[in-house]
Amino acid sequence: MADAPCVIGRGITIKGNLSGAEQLVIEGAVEGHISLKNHLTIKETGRITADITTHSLMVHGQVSGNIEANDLVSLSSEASVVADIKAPRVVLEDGARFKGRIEMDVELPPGV
Amino acid sequence: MATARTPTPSSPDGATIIGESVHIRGQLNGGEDLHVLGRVEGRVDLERTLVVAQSGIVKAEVSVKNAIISGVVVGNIHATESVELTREGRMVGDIYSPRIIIVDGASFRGNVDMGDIANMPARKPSAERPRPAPAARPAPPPQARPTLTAKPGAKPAAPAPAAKAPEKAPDKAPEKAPEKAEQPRPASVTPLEPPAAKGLPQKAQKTRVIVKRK
Repeated sequence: MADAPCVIGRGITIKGNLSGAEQLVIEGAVEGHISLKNHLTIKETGRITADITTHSLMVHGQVSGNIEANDLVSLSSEASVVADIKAPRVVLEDGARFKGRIEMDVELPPGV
Repeated sequence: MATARTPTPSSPDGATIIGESVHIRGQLNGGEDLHVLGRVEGRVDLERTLVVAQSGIVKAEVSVKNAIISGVVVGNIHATESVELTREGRMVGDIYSPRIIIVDGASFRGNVDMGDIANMPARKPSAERPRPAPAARPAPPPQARPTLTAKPGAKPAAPAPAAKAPEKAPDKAPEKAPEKAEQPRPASVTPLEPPAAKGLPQKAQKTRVIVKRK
């Protein structure tokens, strides 16, 4: 696999479905669906209005839509996200703005 | 179990500690920090910080200023300032707080509501967390002041705005002269305080302890 991930530049707007198996960095705008079998990074300039299915996700920009990941979803301190997130690991950094539902597996002790 | 008070690394001065073997069911109100190492069921209303230690279990509607969760919480949390789920924290319920931190390793299921996030001001790096939790990142050290390495002959850091004082031709528009009085004060140098200096609930501040006994 190429070392440099595929980049959707900040001047690009995509409407429709986006799918792939490669690492992807989005600096522009995407509306529709994103389906990725690899790591997705949404940069500070990225604006996503889409349902996202991915292996893992790092958000620095804006996302609205539902997010489902097989591994880690991380919202950085610059992120602004309105979404329902379903992933085994979700990280909300200090400063991240988020509204929605987070679904991780929670193991509770017996009797709680 | 004789050790109701297990000393924890984060054990503060002046906070109430609910020991590991203690189980409270009912309503808990208070004006000081509360550390839960045992179990609390019902309702918790605090004016300050709730700390749920790794061994702690809180099954309650919680209303606090700050919450730091390293144990288990089942129920909704309303916090006026912040909620932090540390690496060991597990929670099922909804969180209503302007500032929410979920650290990798924590597990959570529920809704998150930070209020009006569209109009939320940008992150304030100076805002302090209620208490450096064990897993917390260390606060960035106050930036070293740029040392004034004055070059030979260089002016000693003249205040830029004052140096640019509007020099008007005396014959032209004399009525505007009074404006000069309003020019920026020549660098009334209030030294920048390190971010930690304000907003931090200092240990030194007056401790108000309200213990309500019934």
